[in-house]
Amino acid sequence: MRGQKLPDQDHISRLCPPKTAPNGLITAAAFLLKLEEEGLSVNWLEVLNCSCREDEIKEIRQIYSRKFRSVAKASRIAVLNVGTMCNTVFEQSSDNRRIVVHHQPEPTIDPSHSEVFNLREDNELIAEVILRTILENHPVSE
Amino acid sequence: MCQIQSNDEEFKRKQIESIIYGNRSLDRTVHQETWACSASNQSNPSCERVPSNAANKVIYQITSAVNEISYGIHYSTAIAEMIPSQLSLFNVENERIQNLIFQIRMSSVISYRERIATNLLALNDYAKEESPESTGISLGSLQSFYDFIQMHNNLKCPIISLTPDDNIYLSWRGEKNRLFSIHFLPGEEVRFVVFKPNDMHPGKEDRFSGRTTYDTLKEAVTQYLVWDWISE
Repeated sequence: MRGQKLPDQDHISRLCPPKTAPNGLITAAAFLLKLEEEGLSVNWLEVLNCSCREDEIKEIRQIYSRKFRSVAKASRIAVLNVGTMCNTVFEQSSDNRRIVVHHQPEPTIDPSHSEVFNLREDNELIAEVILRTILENHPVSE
Repeated sequence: MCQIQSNDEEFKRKQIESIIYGNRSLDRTVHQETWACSASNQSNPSCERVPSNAANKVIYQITSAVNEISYGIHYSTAIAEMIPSQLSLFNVENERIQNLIFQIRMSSVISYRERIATNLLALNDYAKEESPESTGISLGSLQSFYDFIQMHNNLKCPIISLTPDDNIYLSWRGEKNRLFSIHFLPGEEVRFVVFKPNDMHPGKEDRFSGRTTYDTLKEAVTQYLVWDWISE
């Protein structure tokens, strides 16, 4: 359902292009908004209905190859827990920011597409806090 | 005034008006028209200075001596003057980015210049690969970064990445989860983040962020003792 808030126990992945993850090391730059961007694009892993994380990542790679003209081989996939990310940002941001993740499916191309809202482009501190909550860092190509 | 497109450059056409004067023997009969046309002929000594692409016209001829006439040839030359097109601006910006990275590599004062230059080149390539219309690293951001690392030449090598808008983002990570990050915005401004352990309460952390210019950043974060651990 479009606009559905993702449950705290679920997980999201974020595509981190190599300019934000030099030498495979993801930096906070990967969680900054582009100018005039409203939400941070992520993918809802549980909605893919895979049996394990490995299969979820495989599915995510296929989505990227369908969705984007090309994906740099040195890109990384960050996996985060929704609740941990949102709660940590609330606790550690100076304005107790309540970020939320909503399902924003793109039919046929990317049904798991979601976005993190209530970020602003000058949110370097929040990006650094989100960075700390990364659970896994996967290569984009096998 | 018209504009013509030639491959990747854009030009505007400009007419330059000129007159040349001379004397010529009338040993042989030369038709005025032929004469005017031959003005572009490089083998004719009296007309050597007339550019080959000039449109010529004899504007007068008078007999000044026996078998000799004076003449003036009025000609206009079309010259193509380059005006900046998007592509040429793109190339200029690209060249300036490469040049700044080269200056970093060749600098005698910047620590880790080789590593920094190599990382910047890789990031620049990644940014262009991601978006072919991008010039790579934001030039304004790179310029501020360059000025900053020239001012502070005893810093440990930072992790360098680019933001989604291709600005430079530096991070240093230290013991006890210390963190100092700088986002170089296009122009002189920077936004920074500091994470540091609380001096009075072990286990607690202080977090700060702010905005200033790259040349006053050191003073702006003095109270957080950042320079103590990012310097060598």
